[in-house]
Amino acid sequence: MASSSPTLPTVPHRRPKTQRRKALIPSFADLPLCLVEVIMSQLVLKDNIRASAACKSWREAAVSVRVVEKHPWLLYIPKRGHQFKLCDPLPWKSYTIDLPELAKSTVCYSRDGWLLMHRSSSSEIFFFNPFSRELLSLPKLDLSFQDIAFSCPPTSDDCVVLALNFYVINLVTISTCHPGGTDWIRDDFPTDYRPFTYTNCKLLYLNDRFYCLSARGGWLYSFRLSSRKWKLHQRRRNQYETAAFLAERKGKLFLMYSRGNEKPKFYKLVYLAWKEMTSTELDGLTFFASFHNSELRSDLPWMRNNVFFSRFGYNRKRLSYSFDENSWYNRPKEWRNCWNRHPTAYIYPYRWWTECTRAIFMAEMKRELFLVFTRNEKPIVYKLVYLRWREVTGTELDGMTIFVSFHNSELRSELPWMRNNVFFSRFGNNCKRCVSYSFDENRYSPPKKSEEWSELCPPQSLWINPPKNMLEYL
Amino acid sequence: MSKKNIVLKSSNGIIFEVEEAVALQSETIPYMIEDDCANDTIPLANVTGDILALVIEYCKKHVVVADGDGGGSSSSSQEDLKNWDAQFMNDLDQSKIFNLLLAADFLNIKTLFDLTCQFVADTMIKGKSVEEVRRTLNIEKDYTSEEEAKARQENEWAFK
Repeated sequence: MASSSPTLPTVPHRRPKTQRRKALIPSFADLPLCLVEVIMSQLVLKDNIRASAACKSWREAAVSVRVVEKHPWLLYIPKRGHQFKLCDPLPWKSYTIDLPELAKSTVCYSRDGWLLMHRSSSSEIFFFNPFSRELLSLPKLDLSFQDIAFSCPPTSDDCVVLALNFYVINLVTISTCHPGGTDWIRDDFPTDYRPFTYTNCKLLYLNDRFYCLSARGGWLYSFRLSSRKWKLHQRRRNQYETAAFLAERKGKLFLMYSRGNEKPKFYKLVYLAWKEMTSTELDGLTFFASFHNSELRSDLPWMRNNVFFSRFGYNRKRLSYSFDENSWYNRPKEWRNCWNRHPTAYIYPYRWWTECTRAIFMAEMKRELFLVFTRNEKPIVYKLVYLRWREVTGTELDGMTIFVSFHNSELRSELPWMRNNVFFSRFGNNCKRCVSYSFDENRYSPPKKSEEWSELCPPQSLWINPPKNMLEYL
Repeated sequence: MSKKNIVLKSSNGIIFEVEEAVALQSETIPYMIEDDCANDTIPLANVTGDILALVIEYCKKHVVVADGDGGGSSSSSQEDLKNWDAQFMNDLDQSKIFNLLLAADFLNIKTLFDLTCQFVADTMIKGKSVEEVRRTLNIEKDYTSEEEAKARQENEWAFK
């Protein structure tokens, strides 16, 4: 046992009353600056700014740890030649940079300050950093491609380049490679032909998956790198004349639609929908269902792809269902009343589930939520997947700034001067500023004349993250 | 295994005797033991008795959990500890928090220091107006009105 014995001192330890009162209420302004800095570094920008107004020493501490994000710059790609323009949208100031390395090539994708270039005359694909002028070649890709993207800077070991090809009806060909690798790895997947039309789709890497949003923002697919699986996540009815932009922020996927003169719509992908698992997707899961609770296991060699119920079956033997054999074991005769004791659950999002006398069991495994849904026929297992786009409105935007372009989109959350705005990448000789939309004021600036979205985000411009020492390169 | 006890003495002369493992959560105390090995009482000139009692309460709670491995330090005990921490901080007044922060820094008890900083940030600053922050943390305004107006103007959105 730990023994601590506060031994009272012989001399009573009391200060004079006035001094005591003063000591009772210390001022946090007297804290050493380094401690205030630690406290301040726990705060988001808004709280940091407010706290800095408390007193002068706090201001000093707040400013020293304040993290204001950097906004991306616009890169304007010339139609001919190699005089590129780089523009800081705030304040509007442009620089010209000469990049002869990029002559006769086109930009395909951009991320983290790098460009992915394609030279069609020699079918070369290469990375280029317009600031450091580094150039990294990729192995030759025999197939042509409609879209290409990469996951992170090519200087990182994890970087993967992915190219998509939909030339064959109902088939998508996915080719991937690593910078520095010698070959592309190729996979074909059956897919729906329809979503892939003549225009490009949006590609974005997030958490082991390349997400692919089809031409007009209708359908969301993903390709998972670790398992090399192609998957349709969501069908959404195409919206006429709609431009869609996909962006990522702190592990969350965002989508923005811009349509005609209307206010742009901004969505966040949320976990909401249940997806039915096919026998192969079950992958050996065992589900144990009972009135009070349910359990899931993945590594039970003798019980793979089975549901076990807590009720006795026929002849008081175990009651179960095997997905491999598509059959019940010891199914009771008085089937109709079998599930009466199971209360209907409250969790399912769809009305069609609430109608009848079905039993539902929910369980969790490895931070994923599963559902077994039983009726007279075979049980159905669902997995909760992120599938829904939820609109992000007004206060939920919380100061977000969205930069959209033909090639890529960027999101920032801590830009004090650009909060709740969308910036379009239009850039031209007679433009003095970007076209933007303010969610606070509910309007475009300058007022939008009914332009096509392709004019607001022409293929000749994209957003690029300048390095910290940006001005040294100019 | 013999359990060695360490004797700590607060600035106002209160003596605490604690197990070595409890005291060694402080990264400062080992140096004091080495420097001062002849004397078996470690004087802590910067920490008053009431604050030292809090520090020891915290360290005792945390040493028990660190001790009980052998499969015992499960996620539930982590959860319990988190709740205990929250309750521990909630019971303190502004003055105690202030002094606990200084003591955790001086004694170099990283988890306690982080806990206190986070608590101050979360409950005394986050989402509060400037006036509320000044009141709860007893900060005197040393800006002139013009200076304050200017500071607010620079980032008007944050004060809405």
